[in-house]
Amino acid sequence: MSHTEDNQIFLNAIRALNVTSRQAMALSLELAPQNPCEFLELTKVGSERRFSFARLFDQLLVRGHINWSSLRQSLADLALELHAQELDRETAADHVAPLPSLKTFAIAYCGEFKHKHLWDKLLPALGAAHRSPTLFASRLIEIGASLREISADEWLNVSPKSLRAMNDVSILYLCTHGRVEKAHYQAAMYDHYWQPSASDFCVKGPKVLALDTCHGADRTPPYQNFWSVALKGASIRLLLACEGPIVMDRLSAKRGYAFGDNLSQGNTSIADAWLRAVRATSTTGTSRPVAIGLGDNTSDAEAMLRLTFDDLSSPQKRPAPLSPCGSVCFADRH
Amino acid sequence: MRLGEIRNWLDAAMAERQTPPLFEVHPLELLGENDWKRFSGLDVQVNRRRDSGVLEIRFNRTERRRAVDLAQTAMAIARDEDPQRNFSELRRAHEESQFLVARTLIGSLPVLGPGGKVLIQDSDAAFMADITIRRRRLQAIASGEWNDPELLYRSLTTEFGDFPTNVEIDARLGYFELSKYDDQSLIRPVFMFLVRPHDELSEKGYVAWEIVRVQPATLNKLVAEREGLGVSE
Repeated sequence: MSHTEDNQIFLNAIRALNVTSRQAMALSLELAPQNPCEFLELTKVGSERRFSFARLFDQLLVRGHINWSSLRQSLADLALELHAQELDRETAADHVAPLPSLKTFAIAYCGEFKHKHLWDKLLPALGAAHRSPTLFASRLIEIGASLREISADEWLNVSPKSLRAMNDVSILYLCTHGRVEKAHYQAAMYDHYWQPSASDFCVKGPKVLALDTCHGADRTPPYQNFWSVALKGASIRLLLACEGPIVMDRLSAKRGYAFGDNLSQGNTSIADAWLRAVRATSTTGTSRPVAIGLGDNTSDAEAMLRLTFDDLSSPQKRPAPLSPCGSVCFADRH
Repeated sequence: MRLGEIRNWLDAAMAERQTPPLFEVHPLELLGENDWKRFSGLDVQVNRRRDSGVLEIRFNRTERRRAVDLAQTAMAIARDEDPQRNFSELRRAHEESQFLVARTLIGSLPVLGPGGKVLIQDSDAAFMADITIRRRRLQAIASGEWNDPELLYRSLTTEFGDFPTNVEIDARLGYFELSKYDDQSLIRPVFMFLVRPHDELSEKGYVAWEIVRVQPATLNKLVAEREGLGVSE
């Protein structure tokens, strides 16, 4: 074995310990030949790897082929190389970091109804309609998100296009009655029904639409056809809803809080956060939550089911609006 | 059943059995003392919630650990939380769902409400279990008397009596347990009423809705009337 070879073995072993530039520089300045594990705080290195390094280090010492002055120079070069890599990583992290300006949401709810038709008298007031969205808001504000818009009862307006504040909102949370009318979803407003259409959502609108209503979505073809038309070219990429009725009472309305709480766990997908929240708080256990990802192709739609709140707030990871041409693909989790 | 049938149902439910007892829940500060012993060898991440004392368990998924084994471990932990309860079989929440649910019974009565169950999420990303089963003190509290059936009936007719033939009510008697987000010091028997428009109306395009009303089934002079029911209506 030559000096050069043993020096290289030592350097490779040091690299394998995942040292930082600062540690490599400290090592290069250390005059006495010493096992680096004994004075560097190598917190990310397991005891097994430390042991094998110590054994290798002892072998190299016994062989006596290491050229220490040359090794110190190599370690200084390594420190510079690592420093450059660390700067690159920091820059990359800055680029994909969540932007507070995109950590935004809006809430809307309707608890009182004044419809003209006789049968709409059977539309009971929802005394707890405010709870889900406001509890959701309270939890999200705690984790640093910004509430852009609140819209309620007779002032309820959920057509995001007509609200400038909805631009760049990540999540729109709506709580009211919902129904299916000829395979079309409709949400009850104060004195009329709102049927979502592509013209309601501009490309800068919300990315996630949480429909805390009955019959928000299901996985049957007629309903998917409705949403594929209603959301073509729109901003919405993830639909959170319940198949069939969703139970409305003060206790079940904690799903809003639970949803926000689950979102606060950074690695939880928005889809899972919704599914778990509804399941964990339903008073009757009968609510059937569903998360539907929308995309221009199947893998694009599936990716939406893995989307996290941090992804939504990251300019690089924030999903683009759906294409105005071509069909909308769906992927669901329930 | 229709609104008009509720009164008879209440009378029958009360005549069928003696008043079920109430149970105090183990104080939060006494829970968790032995958790580290119980879970140290299981390769799981356990969180005992500070608001409710409920266990949240995240299993470390490896190829060697089959979902069925993890589910059995979760159920064993759940049984250990309240050994006096009976458990229903762990089954999918509905077809193809990634959630599995096992509900519980106290005596012969089902535990109703958002709690009283083991909820497991079995997905590619996670295998997690919420064990919303509160540990009860061993000593039960005698219930006293049944709640007044006429008052219970009237509470429903006052709210839904304008169109008595248009609503369908699913009435149940059971114990009531709150969600993992709620503090609860008492587990008590309740009547739970799930009210919805009659099926024929929903088919005609009327708006579907589901509203739940929870009423204490029994009364005890030493216990507040809605103690243990959280913010339920």
